[in-house]
Amino acid sequence: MNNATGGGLMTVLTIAALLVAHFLLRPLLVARPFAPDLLAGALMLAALHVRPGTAAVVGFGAGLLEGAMALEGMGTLAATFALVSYVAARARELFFADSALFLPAFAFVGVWALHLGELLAVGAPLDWFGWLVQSPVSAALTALLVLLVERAVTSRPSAV
Amino acid sequence: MAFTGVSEPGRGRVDLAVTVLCVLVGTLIGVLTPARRLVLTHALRSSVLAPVLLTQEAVARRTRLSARLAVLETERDSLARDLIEARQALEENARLREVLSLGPRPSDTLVAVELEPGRVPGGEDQTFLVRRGSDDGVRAPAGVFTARGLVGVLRSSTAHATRGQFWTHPDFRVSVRTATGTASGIVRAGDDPDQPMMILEGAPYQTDIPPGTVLYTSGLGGLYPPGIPVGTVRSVSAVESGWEKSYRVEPAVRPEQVDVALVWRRPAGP
Repeated sequence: MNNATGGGLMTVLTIAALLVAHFLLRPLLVARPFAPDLLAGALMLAALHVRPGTAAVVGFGAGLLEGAMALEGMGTLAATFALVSYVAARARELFFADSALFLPAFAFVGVWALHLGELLAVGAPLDWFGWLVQSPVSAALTALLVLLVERAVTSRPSAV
Repeated sequence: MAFTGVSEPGRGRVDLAVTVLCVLVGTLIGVLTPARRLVLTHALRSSVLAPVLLTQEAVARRTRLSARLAVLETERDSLARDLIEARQALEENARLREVLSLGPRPSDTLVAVELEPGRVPGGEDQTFLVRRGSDDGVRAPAGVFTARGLVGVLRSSTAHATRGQFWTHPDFRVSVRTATGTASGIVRAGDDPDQPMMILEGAPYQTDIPPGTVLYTSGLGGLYPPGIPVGTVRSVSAVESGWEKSYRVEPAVRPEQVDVALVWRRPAGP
């Protein structure tokens, strides 16, 4: 197994682990709006490493499962997560990425956008406090988590 | 770090097509009828999500069991007392119906179900899933309650699963009355998500409902059996000049306190 393949496998396992952790800890996390969003973190990691189409499929699957857990927004969450994941993966390709600030900024904006999409997808009235205060804090913590995971897991970029 | 991910020629269109397909399928699922979405929800919860849900349930049971033991023992004692009293009342009722030539009392049915709450991030418990459906005698619409009071309503059902709304759901409404029947109205969830209170609307303007008054289901509409506690009036919320009053009502049951409840199946009509 060469380094690129090993790194790719590690990334896939990390994304899967984050998703499993999100669904296992969901009852705790949804009650704490400031907590890092593991599902969003997993989708941002996927958007960093896989092709935009694959990122959309991962987002679609995660959205379906999230809708089944929430009992709200089944389908619309999947569509929203697929769209945000695709846009995030495309943004990675389009923007200059050779900067130390790129990864945290990318994850922060991506998670914040995902939270807005999630609110709109479940048809909840826009909660300004949640969107302007809670969500950015959660997005910042998630960006930090993505940064740490990214540094711990991979030493070089890989394409799956 | 450099995440360049340069696309191969032509792959961009494939990626876009895959994404459009995902969005279309997602939107299509989103516009399905609630019963059809419920089939998909139940399928996912029974397969991919089953290990996660089983783990969550095991942890929740272990955590809650010791805390609930004293409450359960108290409930059991009071139920035993109520059962003895109810048996006497039923015998008296049967004798009276016989004297009045009314025939036997039509019997309703209660089905015990476990509720699996669903919650959107940052929101309150508003919906729940019951892993029993029309094949098990659980059919929507039907009222859901515990010994302490009203919990919610079943909205859509399939053969093996049913989806319901807690009273906290914005669409929830129930017709209520006071114990004496002097005032009645419609109860819905309050507007402030941070304060899990109910609102009683449509109460008569001329009748004051003092704080501490317990509201019960009126039984109108046939969704809920009459006499189930809904909540306790706490204060006046709003007064429509010369027309009606609204009251803030403390709920008898909070969704997070419920894991097992009863579904009411009304007796068949004559």
